Amino acid sequence: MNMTRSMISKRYTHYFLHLCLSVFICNSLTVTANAAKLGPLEQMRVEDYAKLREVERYQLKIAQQYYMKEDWKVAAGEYEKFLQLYERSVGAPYAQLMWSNCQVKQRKVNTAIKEGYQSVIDYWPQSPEATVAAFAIGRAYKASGEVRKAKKAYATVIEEHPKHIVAILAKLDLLAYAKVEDDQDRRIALLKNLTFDTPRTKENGSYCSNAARELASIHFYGNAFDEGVKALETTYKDGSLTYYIYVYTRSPVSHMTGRESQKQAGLKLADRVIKLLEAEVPTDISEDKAKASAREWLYRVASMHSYARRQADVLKTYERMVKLFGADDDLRGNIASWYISHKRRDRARQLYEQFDDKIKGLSLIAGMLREDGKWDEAIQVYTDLISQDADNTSKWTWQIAECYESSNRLKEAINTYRQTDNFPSNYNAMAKCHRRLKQWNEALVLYNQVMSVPSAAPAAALEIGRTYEQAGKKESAIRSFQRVCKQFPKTGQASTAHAHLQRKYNITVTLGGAKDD
Amino acid sequence: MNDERKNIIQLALDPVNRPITLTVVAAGVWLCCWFDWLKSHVLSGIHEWFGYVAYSLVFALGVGIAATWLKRLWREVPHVRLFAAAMLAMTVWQAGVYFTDLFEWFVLRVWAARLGLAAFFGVGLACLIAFIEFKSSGYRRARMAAEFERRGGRPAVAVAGLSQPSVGVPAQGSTTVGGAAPDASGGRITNPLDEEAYYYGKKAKKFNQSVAAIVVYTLVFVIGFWIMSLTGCQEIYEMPAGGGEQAQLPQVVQVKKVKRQKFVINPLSVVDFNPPPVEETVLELLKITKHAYTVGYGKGKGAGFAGGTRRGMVRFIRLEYPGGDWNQDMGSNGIGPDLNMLVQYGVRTQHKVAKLPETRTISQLGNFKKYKSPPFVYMTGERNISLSKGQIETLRDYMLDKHGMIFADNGGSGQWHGQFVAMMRRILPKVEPVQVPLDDPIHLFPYPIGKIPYVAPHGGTRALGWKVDGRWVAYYHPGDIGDAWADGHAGVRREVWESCYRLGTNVIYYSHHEYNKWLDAQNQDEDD
Repeated sequence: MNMTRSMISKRYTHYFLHLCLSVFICNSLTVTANAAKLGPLEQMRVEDYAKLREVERYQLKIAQQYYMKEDWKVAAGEYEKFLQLYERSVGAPYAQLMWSNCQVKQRKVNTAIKEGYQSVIDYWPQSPEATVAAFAIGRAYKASGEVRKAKKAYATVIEEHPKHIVAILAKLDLLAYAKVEDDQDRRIALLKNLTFDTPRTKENGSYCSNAARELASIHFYGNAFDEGVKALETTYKDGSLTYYIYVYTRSPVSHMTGRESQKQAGLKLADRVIKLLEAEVPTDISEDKAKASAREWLYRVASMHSYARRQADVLKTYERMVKLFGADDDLRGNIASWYISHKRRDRARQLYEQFDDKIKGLSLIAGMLREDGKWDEAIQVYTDLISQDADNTSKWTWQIAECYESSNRLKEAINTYRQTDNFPSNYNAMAKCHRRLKQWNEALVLYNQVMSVPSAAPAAALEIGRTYEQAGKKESAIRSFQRVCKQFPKTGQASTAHAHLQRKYNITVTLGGAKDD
Repeated sequence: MNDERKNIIQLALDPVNRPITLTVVAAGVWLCCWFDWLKSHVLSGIHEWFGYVAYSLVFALGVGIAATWLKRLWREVPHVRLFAAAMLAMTVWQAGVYFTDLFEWFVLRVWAARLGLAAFFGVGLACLIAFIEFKSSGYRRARMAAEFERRGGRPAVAVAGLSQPSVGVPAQGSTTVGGAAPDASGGRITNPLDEEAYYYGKKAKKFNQSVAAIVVYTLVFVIGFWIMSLTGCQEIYEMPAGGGEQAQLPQVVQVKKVKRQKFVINPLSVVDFNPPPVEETVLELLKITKHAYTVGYGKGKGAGFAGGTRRGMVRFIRLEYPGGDWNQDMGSNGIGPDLNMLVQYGVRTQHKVAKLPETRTISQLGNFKKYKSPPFVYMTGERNISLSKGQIETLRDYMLDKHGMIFADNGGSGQWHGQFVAMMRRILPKVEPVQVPLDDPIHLFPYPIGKIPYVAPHGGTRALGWKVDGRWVAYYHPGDIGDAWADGHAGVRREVWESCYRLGTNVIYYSHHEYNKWLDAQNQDEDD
């Protein structure tokens, strides 16, 4: 009996331990998940967290929950409570820092600086939070438009904590100022520091890479190709280096070749890049992988010719690709685009007709016909598409309806829109046609049906007002506009209706005024 | 020389000439008063009532004198009569504008000013045409007399020559018939008052002269008016004298006692009777703002600014800008919500404020002297803002060199938000806009603003600011604060429009406070 009792007791103990473990794991996971949502500068060090008592952790967790919900006022209250209850805790500087963050979020920047961040530095100067607070002061000054003070704070951070991530962030903010103030020397100095002088870590890697790319772009614009390549070399190697050289030289090439004074330099830059790209094209393209690679690099060559405004060379590259890989839809499409840009539309159409994917080819032809204003021909092509591609009947029918609408055959357009199934867009389009036909009642019926869709209701309500206005029913129009303001006060349509009522009818209608943020 | 002067004085005091002398003196006084009322404010600076009495007397006297002259000259030749009538109209117009302003009939004042301007144009044109006709007929008569004399007392051959002498037989020495007429010396006539001037052509000379006169007069009037509105004279803005501190206005709450109803409840009653809990008993509170502190800057007496002057006052100037509807909500009287805000500012801060709000173009803003320029200008609208390079320069100069501030209010569209931000980017390309913190002095004094009040969030719900050297040079309100100042308050709740008035007060006060700080710093620099 005792043995049985002891076994049962053991089993229960076992279950209890399992339960406790599960709760602990869940709890830990929740904390980890929550922490994952916080920014790197908003998190507490694990070793400090481990030193907290259970009650302290509990209080911090409550505060953090409100912080995550962006209920800044309550979160600030909870952090303040922590400070009052556990002033000597290891978590106190963290609570003070987070309280300050809450003040910033509530747009009380000066309070955050004077009573928050500065207190962290003054009372807990050795804490890791003090470093973050020093940087946060700079950010707070930046947010309040105090440029000089922000710069001073950032300079202090860089000087006092050069190896901390906040130093990198401070440099990035200074970089943003240099950019706005058009201080090119300072900008390049900061970028060089971030690119070449800052050892890359997991934390700062992305910032330094961005700086390298920005520096390279500046050098390419300044016609300093080698300098730019050097900057990119800090981040990319081999094939990816060539690719990024191509990416960051496209805009400078286009910019320079567009200006007579820099044209030669731009062409020279393009040639250097093309040389690099050509070097990446595999000589043996017997394998599919090599073929695909060669194709990609040659596309980039063509693209670079295009940026350098050497259109003839673009076509030559495409023709070279046709010889190497044979014609396919992708290549045909690119060549056709080239012909369209050179106003040889008939040649482009021929290429579209050769498409292996007939549906795509026909839709591109129809698009061309619409651009040319050949509505009937376009409708014919779309009709053919319906017969060939029954799965997308609604899509092609919509295109036909648009052709009718564009060619002012509104009744046909309405009938065709009716056959499509993308409610409420089709009802809106039909109502628009009815309004053009001055069939106000029909338009109103359709808009009222659209009102049943919550997301489309504000726009439909506004259009109802406009329809009444066009119909000359002033009172109904006013009522409709007022309804928009009343029913959807937070939407852009309400703002439009409010302004319209005031401007046209001299009627002021309330949108409720300010609410608590 | 002394004899000459004595003669002039005697001539002026001669009983025959005495009315003219008196009129000239009265006209001089009238002009001085007019200038003083509009610009210099010396008389009203001595004492407000002294100014009122002096202006009223002088302007009424002007009307009386002009009426007397009209009565006296009514039987004279039409030109003199017309001149006298024009003088009377001018004085009546001017006095009308003054008295409607004095009695605060603002709508009437605006109409008096507008109609008077139109009448001024018409009367001026009539006077010009009458003058030209008078001179022209004089020349014609002189020419006919000379011709008559030349012919030895025989009349001219052509009958038409009476009205159109140039059609008659050409004068001796003339080389053309019916062409450009020669003057007495035989050259071409260039005097525009003479209808025979060569540039009036060969046919319909009289008509051409009249058309030319009307065109030139209109052009001169329009250009003159445009130049006046464009550049104007140099203006000054002075803050009201006084002192005070940057402090919050304490709210004193006076509790109105409410007799609490007593409920006698029978616990055994079958009626379910639920008296309201004590916590929910409504107290009617009447909030009264008591000025425990004087809001202002410096150590002067009374509420105001140490850098201000006795004549100075807080003025509400709306900026006229091209491209959009700068005059939104101003209504037919050209006042709109601006007056409400100005009055509220005066009541709340006890600062001396102008009687009416004003408007200025960007060019006119450039006419304000440094250290005497408006600390803020108000700007609103909902359409476009299209400024020239020169206007951008003027605004930059106003904000940075003259230490001014733009108080912008989005009057009704997201488009205006973009337009204003783009305008600021052109004015201050190196300054980025930021959200104005709620604990910034602009949101704290004299009223603490807990949240940004708005009528409709046309440009969002956050106020933006552009800060240069620690000072907001532009404050952008995204949600039609002007609508809340208007009569009726656009239907928003009391607490919202009250908060909008408070925010307006804060921004106006901030701009003046900063301006005074700057003046102090300048004075200190000079002393050093």
